[in-house]
Formats: sequence, structure tokens, C-alpha cells
Amino acid sequence: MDPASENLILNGLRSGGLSRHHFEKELYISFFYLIKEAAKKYGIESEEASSVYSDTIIVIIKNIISGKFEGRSSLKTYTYQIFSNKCVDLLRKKTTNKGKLEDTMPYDSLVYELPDETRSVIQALIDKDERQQVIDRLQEIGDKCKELLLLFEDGYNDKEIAGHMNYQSADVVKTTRLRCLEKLKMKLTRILHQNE
Amino acid sequence: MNNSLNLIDDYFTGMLTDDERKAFEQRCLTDSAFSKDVATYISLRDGLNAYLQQQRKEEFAKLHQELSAPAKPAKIVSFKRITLLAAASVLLIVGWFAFLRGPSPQKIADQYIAANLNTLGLNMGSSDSLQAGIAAYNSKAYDRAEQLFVPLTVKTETASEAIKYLGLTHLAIKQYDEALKNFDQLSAMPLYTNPGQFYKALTLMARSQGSDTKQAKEILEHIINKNLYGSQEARNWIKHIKN
Repeated sequence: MDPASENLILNGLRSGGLSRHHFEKELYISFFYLIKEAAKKYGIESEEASSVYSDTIIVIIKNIISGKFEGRSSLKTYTYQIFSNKCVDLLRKKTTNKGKLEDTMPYDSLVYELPDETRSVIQALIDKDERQQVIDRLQEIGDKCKELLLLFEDGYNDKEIAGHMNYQSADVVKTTRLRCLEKLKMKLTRILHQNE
Repeated sequence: MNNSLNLIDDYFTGMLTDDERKAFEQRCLTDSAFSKDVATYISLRDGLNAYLQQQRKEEFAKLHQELSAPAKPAKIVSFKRITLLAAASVLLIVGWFAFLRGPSPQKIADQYIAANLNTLGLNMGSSDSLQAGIAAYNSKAYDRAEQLFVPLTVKTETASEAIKYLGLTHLAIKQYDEALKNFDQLSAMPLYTNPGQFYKALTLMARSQGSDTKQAKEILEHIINKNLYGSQEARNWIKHIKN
């Protein structure tokens, strides 16, 4: 991939807006050939390589949007490194038969934004099953609430969401967003109480 | 959670000062009700993130399938089939001459492009670069027009116009694959009046390869049924497109 195409993808992802989705696909297609190479090099199934590749692209999109990717290496090198590391992780997991990694927090959990001491206190309070329950309850909070929360989670800020969803201001979006979170929490709490 | 939710959200969206952050982190260690609220907030946001990732993985899996679809194997043609094909070809030639009585879809597209898309209105754009791109297009400096439109496709305020003009530029220089990509992208945008589908049909008619005209006809039918941009032209053109 030439530097101009890389820049186009990077700018497309960073600029937000509705065209971002298009550049996510472009990024996926750009290094798609790595799947075949990895299946050969690491002796893993094509399906597994494809799943690892999807995870890689998701991480890269997130890092580009959040500014973690600073452009010190080319996008190609960056993708190759993350993808290779993930393939090695998969191999290690398979060979040591430690499939129990699901018990840990996801690598991109917000909990990692807390300093060590605080993190261990909060982490102990987090019920790992709640993640799935949040997904299950998401359909019950209304389409607008769902769209708003997912846009925010996808890296759009309140101001961008205001423009996209025709809210009067970023402040109105924030208030509505927190109300939606509260609503989701209520749904979740009700289910947790029922299960007790 | 109501009172603390705002504060917790401010922490995780980077809205607090250093001192406020430290106070927040300290409170997590000493105030058990507050730390429970923080844990719940994280669970909710992690759950939303997990849902998004699930969705994205499903989209990528579809894309993977499309990209890995094997090329159709060459068919083994029997003698009987060759005879049938020859007979069909004769019929096709006869049909073709009948068909030639009306203008071909390619000719219709060429005529439309020559009459309507050789010169674009300069007052249509809002940014200077967009105007410069249109000016380059109008003076047939298509490479320059492309260079000017591409960076504007990623700016929210100019994206839809720039993608449309970029598509028209690709259409003008007969880079049909690129033009189709641009018009697909335009079609996906939530615009009050979206010409994406109409220009896509026009591009397919201009290219007229393989199943292009069939696909163009389907799009034109859709435009007519939904009364979308270009429905008047679509009504006239569709009479001349045969499958």
C-alpha cells in the first residue's frame, strides 16, 4: 500500500462522520492477504486466522481513532506486528491448553484506565457475566437510546452525535446519554434481582 | 448512581483536572457505594463495547466471505451443448438486430453524460476546494479534479458532494469500477435527495459489460417505484433496456 492510500485511510478514520465505515472496510481489505500468510506460517486454520485478523483490525481502528497510533511506523508494519502477536498468542493458548483466558477482563476494558491500586479494588467488584447481560438487555432500551450509546462507544463525541442525531447541543446529548445508561442499568438490575 | 454518574463519566471521558482525577481515584478506595457505581459504569460500557465488536466482527466475516469467494470453475462444454449454444447465438443475433432499432443503454448513457455532465454548476459547492475541483472537472482536467475531490471525501461537511463529484470524475474518464464504488458510498449516505443510485445505474449503462444492463434495469425500476432522484429519466430509459 502506498503512503497516499495509507493517509487516505488514516484521515478517513480520524475524521469521523458517516464515511468512517467505508474506511474501516478499506482497512480490512488492504491487508486481507495476511490471513492466508498467517495460516501458512503459523499452521493455524484459515477460520482462526480470519478471526484473529478481524480482532486485529478492530484494535487498529480503535487505536487510530483514539490517537494511540501515532504514525511512527507505517500502517502496514503496525498491522503486521499486531496481527503476528495475536497469532502467536493464539498458538500459545492452543499449545498450553489454557483456554480459560475468558475469565480475565477484556484487553480494552475501561478498568485499565484506572491506576493499579484503584483498578484492583474496582475489578474485584465487576461481575464478568454482566457484559453478556448488557448485550442481551440492549434491545429493551429503545432504538434511539441504543444508537446513541453505540455511537458514543464507537468513538464519536457528544458534539458529533448532536450533529448526526439532530440534538440541539453536545450537552443535551450528554444528558440523554447518561439517562440511557441509567435505563440500561435499571434493566440489568431487574434481571439480576430476578436471577437471585 | 444518578449523582455520581456525571462524575464517573467525566473521569472516563477525560474531563477532570489532575487534582479531580486523584480525588476520584482516592474515593474509589474509601467509598464503597461509589466504587460499586464505578464498577457498574465500567460493566455497562464494556458490554456496549463488546456488542459493537460483535457487530463489527460479523461485518468483517461477511466481507471475508465475499473476498474469499472462489472464482467460478470453467465449465466443461459438451457437443450437444455447443449445438444448443450455436442455435441460441443465431437467435441472439436476430434479437440483437431487433434490439438495435432503439438506442443501446450505452448510447443513452453517453448522450446523457454529454448533455448533462460535461459541465457542472459552479454554485453547487460550498467550499473553495470543492469549487476548484468542479472548475478542474469543467475544464476536463480530470486528474486535477480527482486530486482536489479525494481529500474532501473525508471531511464531514463536504463528504457527500465530494464523493458525488469524484464519482462523476471517474465516470468521465471511464474508470467505471471506481465510479461504482463512489456511487455505492454516496447511496449509503442519509441525504434528503440522494443521486447515488441513479448515477450507479448510469455508470452500469455506460460500461454495459456482462450483467451491467440487467443490474442497471433493476436499479432504474427501484428508482421509479420509490420515486427517487432521476425517476423521470429512469422511466424513459427503462423502455430501451432489455434483459
